[in-house]
Amino acid sequence: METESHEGDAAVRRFLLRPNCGVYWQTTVIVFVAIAAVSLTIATLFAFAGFWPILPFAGLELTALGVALYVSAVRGNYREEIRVDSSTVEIRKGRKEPDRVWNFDLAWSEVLLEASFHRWYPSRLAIRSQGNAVELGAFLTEEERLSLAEELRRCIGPMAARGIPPGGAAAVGNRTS
Amino acid sequence: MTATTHDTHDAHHHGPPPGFFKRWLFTTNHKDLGVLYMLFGLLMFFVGGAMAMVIRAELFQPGLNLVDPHFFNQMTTMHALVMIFGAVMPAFTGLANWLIPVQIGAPDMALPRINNWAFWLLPAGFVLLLATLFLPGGAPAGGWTMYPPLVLQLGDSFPFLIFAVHILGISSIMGSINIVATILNMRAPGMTLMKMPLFVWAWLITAFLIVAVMPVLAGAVTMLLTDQYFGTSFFSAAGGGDPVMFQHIFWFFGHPEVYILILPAFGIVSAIIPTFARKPLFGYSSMVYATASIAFLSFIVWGHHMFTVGMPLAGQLFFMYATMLVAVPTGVKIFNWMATMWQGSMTFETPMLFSIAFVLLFTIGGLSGVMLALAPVDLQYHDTYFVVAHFHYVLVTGAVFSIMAAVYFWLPKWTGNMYDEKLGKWHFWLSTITVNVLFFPQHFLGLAGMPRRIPDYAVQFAEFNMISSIGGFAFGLSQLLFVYIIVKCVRGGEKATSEVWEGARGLEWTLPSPAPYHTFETPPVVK
Repeated sequence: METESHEGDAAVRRFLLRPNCGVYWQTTVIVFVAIAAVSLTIATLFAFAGFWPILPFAGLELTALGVALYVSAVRGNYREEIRVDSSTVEIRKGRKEPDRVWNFDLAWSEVLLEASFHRWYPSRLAIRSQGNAVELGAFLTEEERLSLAEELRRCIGPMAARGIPPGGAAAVGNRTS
Repeated sequence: MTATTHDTHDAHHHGPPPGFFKRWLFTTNHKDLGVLYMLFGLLMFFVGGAMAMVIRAELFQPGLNLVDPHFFNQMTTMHALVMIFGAVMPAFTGLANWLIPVQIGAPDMALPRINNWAFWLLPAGFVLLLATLFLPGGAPAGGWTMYPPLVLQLGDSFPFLIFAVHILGISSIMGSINIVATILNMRAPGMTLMKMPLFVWAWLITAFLIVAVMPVLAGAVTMLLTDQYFGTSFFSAAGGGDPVMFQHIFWFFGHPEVYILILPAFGIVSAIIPTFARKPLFGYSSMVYATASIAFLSFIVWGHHMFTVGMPLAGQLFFMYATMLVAVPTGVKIFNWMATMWQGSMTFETPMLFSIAFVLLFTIGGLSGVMLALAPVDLQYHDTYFVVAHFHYVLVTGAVFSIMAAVYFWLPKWTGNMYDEKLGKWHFWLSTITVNVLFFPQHFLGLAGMPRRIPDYAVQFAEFNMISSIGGFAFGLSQLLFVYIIVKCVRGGEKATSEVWEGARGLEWTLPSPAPYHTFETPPVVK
């Protein structure tokens, strides 16, 4: 997983979270076309020889493969963006372009890190404001999530509410790849 | 836009609910499912092994001694189905589940819920298949190849067999689709195809084969079903069909299936030998191309399984030469493994011993395969114990030995404990000696003309059969030691380091031992 923190404007902090997988769409398409070509050629030849029941099975299977490849490729484009300025916390989630946006009042927001009930399971990180919570970084590794929680707490929560600006804390880039 | 709703979008990323049954039933974690696949494979190895013991006990002496011939035929048929679809394929899929994500730097498989479903279809399929043992008329007894018209005379077990094959096929396909999607879409940035470990490459090509040929098997068994119950005549000569075409269709699936059972083994051995030779794998690219070449050739050699059905000379020549061509990329692999070992700082821990045995004994199976590829010779060897010896050298000392090597190699990574090396070596030597006592005499039996799938035989074959049976019993007992070593390692032992083996290279060795439930506390760096 990758986590990035940016600090262009001192009063604004921005965190970009994205899955740690490369997007190799072209390779995926090539491999799918190769598999489909082989499978359909085989099934079609058998169908011409009179053994047509192979063809629908091949079609079903290739459909399933195509859907699986598409879904997993789309997931690779998943993004979460957290923007914290002097008064608001904005969370955007989506693929390539954000399709869901949450806006919270900074003074009324807090960072929650819920420990797992067992060391095997991950913790859960969320930003909560006025009874509503948005989970963040569920796809991050434990280490990255803890690091992100620490970063977020420097600009969201009681200290921030007391007037320390988001950019006041030392920036710690936690991009990992 | 402002939305203030509780977000549950990513709830599935978390671990399964607490509780033993909920965890293992509903888990979507690739490591949990890898463990389940491997345990299932181990269980089926013993179920199929028990059937083999029945076969060897019956063949210990000439004459009908222990079981009636019909039950003997059930054992030969079920032994093959259980070992192929229940033991070897699930064990390799388990290894793929456990290892592929950690080797490519992915947090999990691409489709975790489908992964869960793919696994739990397996026990369902095998309940259906093994239940046939208790049906009137018993289990399928016409051979795992399901040739009509014999298979249509099975009675009550026939539809169970067909549906079990369908369920196991769906499981395989779902597992393969998941593997393809994971490898193509979940690799860490920088992990290009030609940087992938060979185990991942081998599985990508294996998954390709499964996706390509499973519809052929599904179609073939469906046509058997419709021939039996819906009045079609795909393979019924009486209705204008052609039973020999079933053999063509079956082996069009069946030969790639053979490579489905061995290509992952190539990947495993290609990981282990460089580790204990402390040298990089010789000829990585040629290994990839050789694996792909073997996969391609697997589509055009099916005819060598059926030289005796009556085939035009051109067909015999084509299949003979095409089959012999398989020896070329396979030879490249064997050469590369030997070149990797050449002048390496070799040590001989149990995984390495099993890998070296794999190279030597798989080569014996490969060479007897070249003999069987020769059409005029095959007419003599067909359906004899020579064929039985050949494919057991490939599948037991090939596929099964590679799985054992893999278990010893990665067990410290899975459990966090080192296994008992002394017992591991005992297991290796017992297995290697007894497996040769078991299968090598079968070459001589076959060359002398003993047919396969018979419960009784001429007295001239008595000595070699007795030797083979003694080897079989000893090999079976040796595997109890394997289970003991695994259990002992799971329960405790010397703590393993992250790297585990001095010469180990790859992303999985950057993880702590045991690897955390969710992978990559230390994010992968792909150089």
